[in-house]
Amino acid sequence: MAQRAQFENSNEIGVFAKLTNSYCLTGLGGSQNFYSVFEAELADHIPVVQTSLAGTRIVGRVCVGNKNGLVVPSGTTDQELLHLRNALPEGVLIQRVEERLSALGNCIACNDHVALIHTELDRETEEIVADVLGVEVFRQTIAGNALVGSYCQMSNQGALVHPKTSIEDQDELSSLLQVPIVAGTVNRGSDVIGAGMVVNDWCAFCGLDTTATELQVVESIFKLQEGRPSVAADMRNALIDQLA
Amino acid sequence: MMRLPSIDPTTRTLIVAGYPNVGKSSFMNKVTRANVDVQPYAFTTKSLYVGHMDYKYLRWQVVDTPGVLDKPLEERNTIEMQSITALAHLQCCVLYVVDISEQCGYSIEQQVALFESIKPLFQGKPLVVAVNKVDVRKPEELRPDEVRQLEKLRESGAKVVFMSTLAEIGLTDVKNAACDLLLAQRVENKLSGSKVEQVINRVRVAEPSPRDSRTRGVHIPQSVLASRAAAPAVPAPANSTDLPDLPKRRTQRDEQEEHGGAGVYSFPLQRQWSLKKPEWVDDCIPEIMDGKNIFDFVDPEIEAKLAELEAEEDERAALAAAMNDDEMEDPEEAEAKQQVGAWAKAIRKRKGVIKEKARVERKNNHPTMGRAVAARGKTVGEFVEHMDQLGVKTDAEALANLRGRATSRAAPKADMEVDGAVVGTKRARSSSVPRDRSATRRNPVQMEQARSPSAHGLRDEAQLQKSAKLAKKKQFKLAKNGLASESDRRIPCKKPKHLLTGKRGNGKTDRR
Repeated sequence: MAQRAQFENSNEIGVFAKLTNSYCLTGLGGSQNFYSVFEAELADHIPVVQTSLAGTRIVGRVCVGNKNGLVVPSGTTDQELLHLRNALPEGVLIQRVEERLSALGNCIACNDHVALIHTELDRETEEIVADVLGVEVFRQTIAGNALVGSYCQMSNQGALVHPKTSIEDQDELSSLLQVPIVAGTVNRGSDVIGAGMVVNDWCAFCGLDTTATELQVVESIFKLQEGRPSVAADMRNALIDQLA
Repeated sequence: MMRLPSIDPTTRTLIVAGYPNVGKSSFMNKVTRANVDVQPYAFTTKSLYVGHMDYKYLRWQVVDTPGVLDKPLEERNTIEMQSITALAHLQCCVLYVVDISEQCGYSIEQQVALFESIKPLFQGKPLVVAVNKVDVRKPEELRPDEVRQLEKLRESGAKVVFMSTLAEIGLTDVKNAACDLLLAQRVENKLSGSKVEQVINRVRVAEPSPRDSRTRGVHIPQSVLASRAAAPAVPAPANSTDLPDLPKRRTQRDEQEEHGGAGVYSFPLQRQWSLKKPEWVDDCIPEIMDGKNIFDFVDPEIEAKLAELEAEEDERAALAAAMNDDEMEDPEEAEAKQQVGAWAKAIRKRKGVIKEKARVERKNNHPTMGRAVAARGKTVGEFVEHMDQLGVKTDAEALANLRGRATSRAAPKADMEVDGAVVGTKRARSSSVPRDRSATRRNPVQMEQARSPSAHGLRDEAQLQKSAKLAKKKQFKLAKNGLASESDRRIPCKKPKHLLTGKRGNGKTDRR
């Protein structure tokens, strides 16, 4: 199921939340409304944790994680680490990294098996990511953008990438990630997919501005619904008519 | 124009047309949320109405038109002309409604005749004929000649669909048929255009080709699968009482609303912890203990690990040193390297000194001296010494005359020939050339000649003087005003007497 949500009047919910298959992090807000959107949907299955990271609310942009682990930036305080360690499930590894590019969420995109990373990330960080998250790591760009985490969003069932990604790039990325890929937008045409939505293997949350068509593309590519329409066949005409 | 609804000419549009009273507005009311007046008499709809509906994740615009009668164009009234204009100018799918029951007062034959007469307007547009009111008269009850009429419509390229707006039969079929036809046409048009190149990557799913034999599985918790299986496939409508509502989870938001609302409510984040024993949640853990950050000692074996790491580090350093020794076999090379190192150190030091000096110079708020001025008191010796210090070899010989008198160009010889005329002596007027072509500009004789009356185009000295006088007079005003000009704001009189003298009664400040 794909849902729409908003964090304090901002559509960029991927900035304020991190969703994986074994836990969900949300930023500390002025009210519980944003947290409760995730809580209502997920709390029966996985822990939903409110936290700050390095004293900021932009938890989705500064950390990277999957069902195996969580990598947090060097600015993360000991108290935050303690809170995360106590709140996350036992099997999830947590690791702090000394990395110049501290917005790890922008620089790394991953699912449970593969990670794409920024081309200028440290070798040490690369190794830590591979070990802690248990993934194969590839240095890649998406549509010429080095910030792979901002411009794509992926689960174990599919990936949505920047709308200007060429067909050749899509094929290359899909063979790296081993999941189907489609180029698209969220939040009424926003190309920062990573910031506009969060997804795991069974649900997705998009910004409040996301249109019905965009939501259908999301549900279709991430396989969130039974009997969903397919982007290539059923939605093709609607997409061409709307976009061209 | 002002009274027309806002019709977007570029978007997906369906136009509903037909004789009066055939059920155009009823159809509009059923498929969109527009609330158009429906009455059982002709020309209830007197202008264009727009409604919107959703189909295939897209927004569609439905335009309801007034009824059209079958008569020549010149005889049509303004109400009918609106329909005609809409049909003529909007790129759309036309939905021609035919009343099968003939309750509207026009026979099927008449309705088909109207269709034929306004057919030129449908050129190049997808066309659907919606045969309405099948609840009153079934399609099977049609007479053979009427069937032939409908057949005629089909032959002219229209898709014929039966519906009843009252009984709500076949509405979706009509809507889908019309929308699919229009969408197919629009997509075909767009595919032939150039813009589609930019979006073709968005309507294609890149399927992965397997690169190894690993399976990369999906991770969905059992509880999710269980709750998915338990949930009804189609969510029950909100007002149905058949299924009891699932117990809704009590969220932090509910808690917040009960305890003072946003901004007031807060709760300890420890509540989200999942520890082995729940009572551990309330344990107080100090951050600093005995002057040490306790998180540095979270791991009981941290010291042993640290020692191990340090040992490894030492080992590596030793190994690196050994390798270095191996490489440094040639003593000469080592010496050269050392020498270069020393030079580099000296250069860095000197650079630092210069930088610091410049910084001090720049920081002080003193008048700066230009380089030329600063060099004025210096001797050649000092200059050479300075250049030596910088490591630049100076040719002392070449510098010997540096401060000597500059060699001036030799004066031209008196009888030097320029352009065939002898310069420097009295010469013929005819050989005079204009200043810009003159080879000797600053020749005093020529300067004198330039000032003579003839050079100004004047007759004699008197006329020259007069013209000078006139010029002076012309410039008098300009000179007097200085830089002021007539476009400047000017107040000729700061205190006009008529405004400032006399008694001041009520309302007399401005005009007196």
